[in-house]
Amino acid sequence: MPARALDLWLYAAPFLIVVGVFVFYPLAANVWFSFYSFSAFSQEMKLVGLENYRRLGTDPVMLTAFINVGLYAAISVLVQVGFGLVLAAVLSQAFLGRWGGVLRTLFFVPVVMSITVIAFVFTFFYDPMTGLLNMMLEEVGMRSWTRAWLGQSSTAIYAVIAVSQWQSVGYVMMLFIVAIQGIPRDLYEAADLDGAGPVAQFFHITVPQVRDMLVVATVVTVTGSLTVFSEPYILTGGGPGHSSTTLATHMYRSAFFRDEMGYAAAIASVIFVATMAVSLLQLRIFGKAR
Amino acid sequence: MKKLIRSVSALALAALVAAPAFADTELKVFHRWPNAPFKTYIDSVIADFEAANPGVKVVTDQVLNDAYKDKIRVVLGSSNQPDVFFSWSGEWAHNISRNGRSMDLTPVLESNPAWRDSIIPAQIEPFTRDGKVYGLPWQMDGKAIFYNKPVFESLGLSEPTSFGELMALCAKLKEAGHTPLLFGAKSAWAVSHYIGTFNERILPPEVLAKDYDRKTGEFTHPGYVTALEKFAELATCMNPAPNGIDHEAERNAFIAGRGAMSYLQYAEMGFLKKAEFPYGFFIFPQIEGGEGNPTSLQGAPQGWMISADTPNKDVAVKFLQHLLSPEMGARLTSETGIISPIKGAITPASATPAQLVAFEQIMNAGDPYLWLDTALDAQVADAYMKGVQLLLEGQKTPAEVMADVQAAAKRVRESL
Repeated sequence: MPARALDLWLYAAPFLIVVGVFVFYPLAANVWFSFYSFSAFSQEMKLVGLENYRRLGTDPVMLTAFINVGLYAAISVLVQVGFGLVLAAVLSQAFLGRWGGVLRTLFFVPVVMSITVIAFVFTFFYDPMTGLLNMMLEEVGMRSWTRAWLGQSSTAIYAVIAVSQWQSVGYVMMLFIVAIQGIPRDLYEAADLDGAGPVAQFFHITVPQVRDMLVVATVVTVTGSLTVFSEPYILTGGGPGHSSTTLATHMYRSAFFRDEMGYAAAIASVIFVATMAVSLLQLRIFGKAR
Repeated sequence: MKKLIRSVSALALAALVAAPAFADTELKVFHRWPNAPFKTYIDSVIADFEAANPGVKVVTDQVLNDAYKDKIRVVLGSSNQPDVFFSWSGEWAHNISRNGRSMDLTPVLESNPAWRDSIIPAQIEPFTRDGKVYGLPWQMDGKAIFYNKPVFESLGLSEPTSFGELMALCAKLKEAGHTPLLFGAKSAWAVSHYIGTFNERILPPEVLAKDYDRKTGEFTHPGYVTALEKFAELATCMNPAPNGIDHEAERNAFIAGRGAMSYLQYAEMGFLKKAEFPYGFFIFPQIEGGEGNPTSLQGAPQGWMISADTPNKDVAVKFLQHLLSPEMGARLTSETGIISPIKGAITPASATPAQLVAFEQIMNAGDPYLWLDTALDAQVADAYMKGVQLLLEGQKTPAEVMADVQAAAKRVRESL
C-alpha cells in the first residue's frame, strides 16, 4: 500500500472505528435480532426467520403508526417549515427594531425546554376536567368544542402534533433567520426600486435564496416525524387504544412492555429503511429542482 | 522472627475479627417509589440497615410504576443489574424467574424457618413457580370501591351488595348531580383491574385458571364478552372521557370531592388522608347470573427479588430479612399505609381502623386474583387494555376486543 494511502486510512481510522462501533454495528445487530424471537432478559433466542417481518405486514397497529407519522410529517412541514419561514422573514424585517430580537427569543424559548417538562405541562393544559384549554373554550362561549383532547381517538394524535409544533417552530425559524441574514441586501434594495412589495420579495428573493436551508429543514422535520417518540409516549402512551401510536412508540412498547424484542427490532429496521428512503427521495427531488 | 510472625498473625486475626461482616459492599436496590411517603420510608429503613451493617452502602434507584416496568426489563438484561429489586407477583414475576434473572430463595427460607414462617404463606404463593420461591411479598393489596360517606348519607345510600344495586345507586347519584364513579383509563393498568374484577365475578374459576395460563389461554368462553358488556354498562356511571385522565388524576379528583366513588387499592389509603371527608369502602359487589367467585378480591402481593447473578448474595438476603421483619412491617403500615404481609405487623397500634378492615377483607377473600396486567402474558394484557380503552370510546364492541385478545393469546401459545 502506498504511504499516502496508508496515511489516509490512519487519519480516517478513529472516525471509522467510532462510526463502525456506534452506528453500523448496532444497525447490523438490529437486523440480525429481527430474525429472532426473544425476551428482553432472556438468554435464549429462537430463530424465526422472516416471521417478524411477515407479522409486520398484517399488524394493524403498523398501519395506524404509518398514518400517524404521515400526519405528523405533513403538518410539521406545513407549520414548522412553512410557517417557520414566514415567521423568520417577518422577524428579519428592519421595522421591528429591537422587538425583532425579543420576539425571536420568545419563539425560541420552547426549543430549549425539556420535552418531558413540556409534555407534562400540556397534559395539564389538555386535562378534560381541570385543563386550561377547555376552560378557555368555555369562557369564550365555545363549550361545544370542549373535549378530552388526549382521551379521544379522533383528537389525540392532533393534540400531540400541536405540542410538537409549538416546541419546534422556533428552531426551524432560527435556521431560516440565519439563512436570510446571508442574503445580499442589495437584492432587496433592487426589488424595492423595481416596485416589488414585501410578498413579492418573499417569494422571488427570500424563498429561492434559502432553498438549501429549505432542504435541510424539510429533511430534518420529516425524518424527525418518522422517529417521534417522547411527545406521544408521555402525553398519551400511544392511546386511546393505539390511536396516537407512532412507529417509535410501537417499537418501544413491543420491546419493553410486550417483551417482544425480535419484533421490536423488525420495527426498528422498518423505521431505518423508511427514514433513509424518505431522506434520499427528498434530496433527489430538491436536487432536481436545483 | 517467630515473635514477629506471631505478632503479625495476632494483628491480622484481630483485624479480621474487628472487621465488619460485609466490608465495603455496595448493594444496588431498584424500586418503584420515587414518591412520598414510600421513598421516605424506604430511605429510613436503608439508613437503619446501613447503621446495623457497617461497611455496607445501599445505593438506590427508583422510577414510578409504568416506567419501572420498562426499565427493569432493560437493566435485568444488562450487565448492570441491581442486587435487589421490586417485583409484582404472578406472571410478571414468573417471566423474570423463568428467564433465570431472579435467585431461588427456597434454600434460604428452608435454612431460616423462623423468617419464612413470619410471612403469611398465601402471600408467598404468587412468587412461587414449580415449587420454588423466587420473590418475597412486602405488601398485601386489594381493590375496593371507595366512596364519599357524606354524599352517600345525604342521599340515603348504602353499600351495594349486587351489580344491580350498584347501577341503581349510580342512577341516584347522577340525578343528584354527582359524578357517580371516577375513572382514569389513561393508565392502562387501571383498566386491567376493572376487567380482572368483572372476569372474576362472571367466569367460572376453572375457565380463568386455564385462560390466564399462557400455555393454554384461549379466551373463547362467552363470559368474557359478557364481562365487557357489564363493564360498558358500568362505564355509563363514570366521568366523561375516562381515557383523558390517568389514575393519579382520578384519585386526586376523588380526594377533592369531585366524584362519589373511585375504584382504588388499599395501598392508596395513605393518599386519602388528604381528603376532607370521611370515606368508606366495599369490595366489588357480586354480579347477578355470574358463575364466578362473588367475594373474591382483585389484588396481589408485591415484593422483592434478588438478582440471580448478584455477587452480594449474603448482604442481599440480609437486607430482605431486615426489610421483611415484623418491626419494619409494622412501621411500613403505620408510616405509608401499605398493609404488610408479615404476621403480627397489622395491629390496632400500627394500623388505622380502615386498614384493619382492609386486612380482614384481604384475609377473608378466599381466592385472591392477581392484577390482570401481571397475571396475564404482557401481549395478552396489552391487547385487553388497549381494546378496552377503545370500548370506552365506543370504537370497539366487546366481541371485537375479545377477538384481539384471542389473537394475542394464540400468538403467545404458538411462540412457546
